[in-house]
Amino acid sequence: MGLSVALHLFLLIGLWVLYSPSGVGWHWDWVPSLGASFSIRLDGLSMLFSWLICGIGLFVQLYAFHYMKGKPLSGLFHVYLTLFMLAMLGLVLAGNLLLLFIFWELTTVTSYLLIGFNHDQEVSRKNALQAMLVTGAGGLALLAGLILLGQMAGTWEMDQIINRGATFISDKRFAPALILILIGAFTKSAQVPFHFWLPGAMSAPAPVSAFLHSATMVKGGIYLLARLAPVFSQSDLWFWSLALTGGITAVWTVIVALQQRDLKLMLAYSTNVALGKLVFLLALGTRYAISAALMFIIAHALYKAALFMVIGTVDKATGTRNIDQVAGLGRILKFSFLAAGLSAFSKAGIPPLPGFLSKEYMYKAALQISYAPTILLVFVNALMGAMALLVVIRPFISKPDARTVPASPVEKYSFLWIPPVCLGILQLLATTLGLQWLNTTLIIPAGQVIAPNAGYESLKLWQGLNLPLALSGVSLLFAFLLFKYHTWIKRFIDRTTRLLPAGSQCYEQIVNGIIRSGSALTSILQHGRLTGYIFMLFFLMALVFLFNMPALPMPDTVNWQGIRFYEVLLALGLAAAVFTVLLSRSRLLAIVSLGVAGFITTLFLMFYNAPDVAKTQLLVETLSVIFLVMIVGRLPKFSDVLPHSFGKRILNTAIAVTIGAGVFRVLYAMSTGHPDTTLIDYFAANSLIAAHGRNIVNVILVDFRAIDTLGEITVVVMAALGASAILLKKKRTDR
Amino acid sequence: MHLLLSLITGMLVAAGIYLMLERHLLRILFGFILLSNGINLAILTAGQLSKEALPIIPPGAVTLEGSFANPLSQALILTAIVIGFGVLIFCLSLTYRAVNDSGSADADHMDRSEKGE
Repeated sequence: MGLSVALHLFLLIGLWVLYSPSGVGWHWDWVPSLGASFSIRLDGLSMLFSWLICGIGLFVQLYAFHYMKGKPLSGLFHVYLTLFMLAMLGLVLAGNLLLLFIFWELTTVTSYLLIGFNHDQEVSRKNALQAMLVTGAGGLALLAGLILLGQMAGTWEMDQIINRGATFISDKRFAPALILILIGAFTKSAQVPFHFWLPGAMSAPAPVSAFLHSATMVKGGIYLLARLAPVFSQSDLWFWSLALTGGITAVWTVIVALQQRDLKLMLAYSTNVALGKLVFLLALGTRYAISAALMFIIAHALYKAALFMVIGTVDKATGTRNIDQVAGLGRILKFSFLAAGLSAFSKAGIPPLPGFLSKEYMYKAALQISYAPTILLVFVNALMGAMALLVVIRPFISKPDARTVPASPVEKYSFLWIPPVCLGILQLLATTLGLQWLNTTLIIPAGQVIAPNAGYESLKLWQGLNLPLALSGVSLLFAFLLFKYHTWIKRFIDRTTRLLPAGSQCYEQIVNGIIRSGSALTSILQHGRLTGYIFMLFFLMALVFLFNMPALPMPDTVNWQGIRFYEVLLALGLAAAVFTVLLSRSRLLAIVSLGVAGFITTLFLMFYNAPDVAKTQLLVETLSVIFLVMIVGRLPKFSDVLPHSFGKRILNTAIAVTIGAGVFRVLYAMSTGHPDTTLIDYFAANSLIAAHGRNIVNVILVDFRAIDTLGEITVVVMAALGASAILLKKKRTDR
Repeated sequence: MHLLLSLITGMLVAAGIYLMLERHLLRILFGFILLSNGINLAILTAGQLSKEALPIIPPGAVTLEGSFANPLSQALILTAIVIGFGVLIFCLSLTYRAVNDSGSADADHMDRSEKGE
């Protein structure tokens, strides 16, 4: 615990010392042959994110110190949290696409450990797996998109890619790369239709939610979009997919959020809303929109972390998070009330808090475009505001009634209130005393990374009486009205949304469908009949031959030269023997014919100057026949086993003939080519000189390719051992 | 000569595969033997046929010059024959054992392990 706090402080200060608004970078080679390097890029955008990650991380660690105290494995919890923080930090600092992807996946894996930390609860395991599957699947899409992007650019270094970004739009890989990367970013940042994993991730302990929802994990997708905006933002596809996805996400999840009774779930859905708004602002891409987005990232990180901590404390004090069962906590949890109030004001957009400032610029940006985004933002902000009021006024101010659960004074543990109060004060400071500093060190440099030529100006708290201010007032008014008539509205929403499918149900059906089709496929392929397996093997082989046969060259003239009369006779004899094996109903006759076929093969080996091979073949053929005759008496007759049906036999014949014809065509085509004789010439030249043997075949076996022969001997020994083990084993009597 | 050997090889392979697709274990084994023979001939044919000289350096000479049979394909066939024989013996004993235990030589009845008993 002390260690991890020290690490956070060290990182915060270290980053501060190294940072310069124009950006700095370091580069180490990692796998140069793949273009993967360990390059770090610290510019305005990475600085903004990494400070949020380390800063919020510090407070979360402090909060978790008491929150997790006494729970099993609380030490491990801090380790997971630190690992996750480091993975997230790597993600926003990576200067190489491949490095970025590795950190991206590391955040997925470590967040799985955190979300599923209460692993003794089934729902917790399930939701952790769901989060990992959704973001992991998005990660795969992202990998493909990043590879396409890297191929377009010819490099994996992000600096160079972004410098050259404007030239990619005419590339035919542009659109696929964009879509795949968007899928990755949208799954990570929980956009509709992938939004459901985020509320599911609520089964994690409160500090995890505070961290995941504010500065990390879900902001990973936003970071990626912001980082790659210079490459993609000129295309219409970028604008429409971001604007539509972000807009739909914001509107839909804010409606769902108002339905919830669980305080934590309300906050979770409101994170979806915030992410939707951010994506929407990135789509607009003007200087006001980007300033608003950056300010909102800061504002949201601060107030969301504080609110989750406060809800965690409420949960600790009362044992419930149901909004109907908590009331009048303001007197017992004074400090939490202070933090929650400040955060909720920021969330609702009450001046002078950061939420207000970001909202001002949001409206400014939207008014520049048209009335549609303005209406959308007013609507979403009004509902957000109503929710902020609900989250604070209900538990802390309203009078207790019969359903209220009594609370215990948990604020005697100072770690439960110091972090959220600090975050609350930071919010107050951020836009009053610290605004100029924020502008010059973070927001303007970061904006220049996202849209280099937008011409930023400093954000100002007071801009005179203008339309955005009026809109802020309007949304606050609406927020208050919505809060007042909340129960009616909830009932109305409940009635209208019942018909729509829930995202997590679709997810479950998809996962179940994959498992079902997997087991269906297994039962088709793994049917347990041996003949079926062999059939499938040769059937596929026949298909391969069938489709490739026309591509094989066929010589123009058939060359009969060099074929002797006795060879033709022997070939006919071989054919007769083979057909006897095929057709014979007598086992002994079949074995004899098999022997005949083998001996004729041996003769052919003799004709073509392979005496050693012929000798071996003769020996093996003789032994095979002997063994077969020994065993055949103990085996059932051919007539004891049912043959295949007539149709099946026709099919089998077709398969066999296709493969046979294919082999013939391949061999005949090969004989017309010119083989590479390098190896043969080498053997012929060195057999005597280097290996002292005149029989080149033997020298190859025992010298040039001796390891092969060793392997061959091993196989024979294993076969012999196996065979003797099988034959000598006593017959089992228990079956 | 390539034509004839290619034809023979194709026939052996086709017959071997047809037999391996049967249900009687003994016929599957026969198929395996014919297929091995076919593949051996295929390696020989693919390495170019020659009737001119053995791949043996004659007494007095230091290297082998001129046209001669391909020693590499022969070495490969030798390895293939021996391994094929080893596998055949193993399969034979397996067949013997399986038939003794199950009382049937039908490959489709050999499903005790698949049923997870």
